[in-house]
Amino acid sequence: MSERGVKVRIGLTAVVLLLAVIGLGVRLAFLHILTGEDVRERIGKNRRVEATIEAPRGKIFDCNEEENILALNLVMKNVCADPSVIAAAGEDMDEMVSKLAPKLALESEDLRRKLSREGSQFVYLRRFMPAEEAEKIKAFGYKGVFLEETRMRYYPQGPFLCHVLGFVNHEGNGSAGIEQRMERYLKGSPGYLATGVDARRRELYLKREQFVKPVEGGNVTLTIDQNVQYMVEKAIDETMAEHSAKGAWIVVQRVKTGEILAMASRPGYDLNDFRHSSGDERLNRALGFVYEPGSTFKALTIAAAVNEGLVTSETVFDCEKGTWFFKGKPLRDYHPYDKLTVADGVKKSSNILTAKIAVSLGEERLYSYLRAFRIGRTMGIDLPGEEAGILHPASKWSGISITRIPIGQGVAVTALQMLGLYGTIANDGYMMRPHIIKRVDGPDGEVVYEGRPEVIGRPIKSSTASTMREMLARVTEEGGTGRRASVEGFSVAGKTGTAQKPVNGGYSSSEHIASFVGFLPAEDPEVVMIVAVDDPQPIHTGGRVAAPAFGKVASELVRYLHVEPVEQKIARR
Amino acid sequence: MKKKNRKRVDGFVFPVPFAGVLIVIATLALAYVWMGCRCEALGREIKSLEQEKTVLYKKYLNEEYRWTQMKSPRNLDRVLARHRIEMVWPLPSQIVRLRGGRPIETGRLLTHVSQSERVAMNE
Repeated sequence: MSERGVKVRIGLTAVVLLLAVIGLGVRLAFLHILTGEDVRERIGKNRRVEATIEAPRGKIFDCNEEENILALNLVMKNVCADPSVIAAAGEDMDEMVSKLAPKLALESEDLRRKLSREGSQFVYLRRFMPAEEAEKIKAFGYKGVFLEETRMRYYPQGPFLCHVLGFVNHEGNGSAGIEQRMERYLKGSPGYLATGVDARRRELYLKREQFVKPVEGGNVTLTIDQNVQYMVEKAIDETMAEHSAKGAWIVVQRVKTGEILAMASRPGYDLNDFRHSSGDERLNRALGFVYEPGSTFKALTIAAAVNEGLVTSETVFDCEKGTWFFKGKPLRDYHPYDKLTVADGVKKSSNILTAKIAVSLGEERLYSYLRAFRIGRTMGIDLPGEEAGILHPASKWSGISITRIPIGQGVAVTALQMLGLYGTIANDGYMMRPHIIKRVDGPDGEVVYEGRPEVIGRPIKSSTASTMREMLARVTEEGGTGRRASVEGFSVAGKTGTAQKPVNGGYSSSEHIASFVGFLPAEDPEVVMIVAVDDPQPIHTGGRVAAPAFGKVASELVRYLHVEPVEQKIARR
Repeated sequence: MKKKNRKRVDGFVFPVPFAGVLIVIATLALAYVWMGCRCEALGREIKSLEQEKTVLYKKYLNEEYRWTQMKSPRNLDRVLARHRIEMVWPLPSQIVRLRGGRPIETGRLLTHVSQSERVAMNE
């Protein structure tokens, strides 16, 4: 080739390259300078992701701390389908339905309707399914059926302790029980991520602009003991079944600290399926149900009179052979008695004896004791939904209220208030605030909240409490109304109650609330417990319905808690 | 001849300072590229470790759930029933309390235990 030809070729190549470079330069200038703001924004958005990172909610433990988890977070799967893809793939619908329906726990027809929904490209077949089970569905390999990952609050034991734990709603907010009360500790704070992504929306780590780590919620430890709770729930279910009751509730509390060891209420509901529960099932009757306490309330009036020095356990009252007229209205005893000492009156649960003591106490003094025992006031437990009960001021009492309130009529209480009354007698006159939250640990393990024993009042003296304990211990002895609550080797103090339910301004003759409140060992009490049963049939007395349940739970409880019979304790000393 | 040789030498001489600058620039460029690649590799590693951590965390949550469910009192009861094991609480007379301090003679303890009431269980 001639030298000129070479030069021409080099020149042409240079021109082509120059034109290409100019072309690229113009395109670049066009893209960078002349491209509209909206297009640039769109491109930027596609390459960038901003996301809020959900903070894991804290767990809830029983009193054995990290051993027993009562509420946790679980990664679950939603089983989804695209009906349009299923139709296009020509899957055998009959075979698909027959295989999937049992796995999804769906009716065949429902599933068929979902899978063949016309014009739909997305449908949930089942939400919140355990990952292992969901993977089995994926393994069938049907086109158009796929899984979606999701997190949910899960309660491993379903209905267990349902009224105490509460639940978290769809927005992730605690809506009942501990979940609601401890929301600010459990929730944690969400994180934030702003980052660049590739064409497949995968994060490019080097393009990460901002990352704020989510702060996990704190872990809540309860005073509830899972094993005691189980004993209580078993007993409550057996009692409900045995007596065909409408409802029942049991609370167990440590006398000296006010710690709640167990709290059960029936009817209950499955926490993992709270959407299908009624308001009645969600009601924690232990603190949100007010009822007339009946004879269990007599202890308050007698304690007040002993505290005032008006009576002793040996003071004798005339029980009028079963019927006593006060201001023209008759008051009757279940069994007629002639003369009874106060101690025998407690043992036999005499209405007349209690009413006479109340009359000698007077309205104002009785009212002040009622208030001191927090009747008509909440106990201040760290759970939502506590009711205050009903107690009218003395100025609004009718002429016969002084004889009816002491026997637990015309006054309404919660189980927690009754537990407070008997707990005070058991605890030398000191009333402890009931508490259910032992501790909250922050994500770094630091203690951010601690529930401590707190004295909220001292309505009676030590000596009064001691006298009351002696008298109440006789109730579970032979001849007493609560002998079925006795525990072998231990002395149990308590009181039975059978209250007619108020209906249409009067009292029902067929519907009752049977209860037993007591503590043990009577000489040096460790635990106080209430058992209440709503509308038991056909037997309806506290002594026959509630006392046996008390005895059953208490006999297991003393062994589980290593409570020693007092004789052994004294011998050791 | 002498002139010719000098010309050739002049044509191949590369200015030493310029060469030095070029070497420094090339070294810096290479170092930059190497660091860029290293950062990218570390980024990828961090990302994959983050993903692994997430997967492990999910596994941990599921195992925690299974363990909790397995040792729940209700499940333990169910398992005991399946194996036909009936457990009862000991009677007060069957309980032997061992206290701290002076050790109890084994013989005395055995006598005490043998005298206590027995309940036929699972027999």
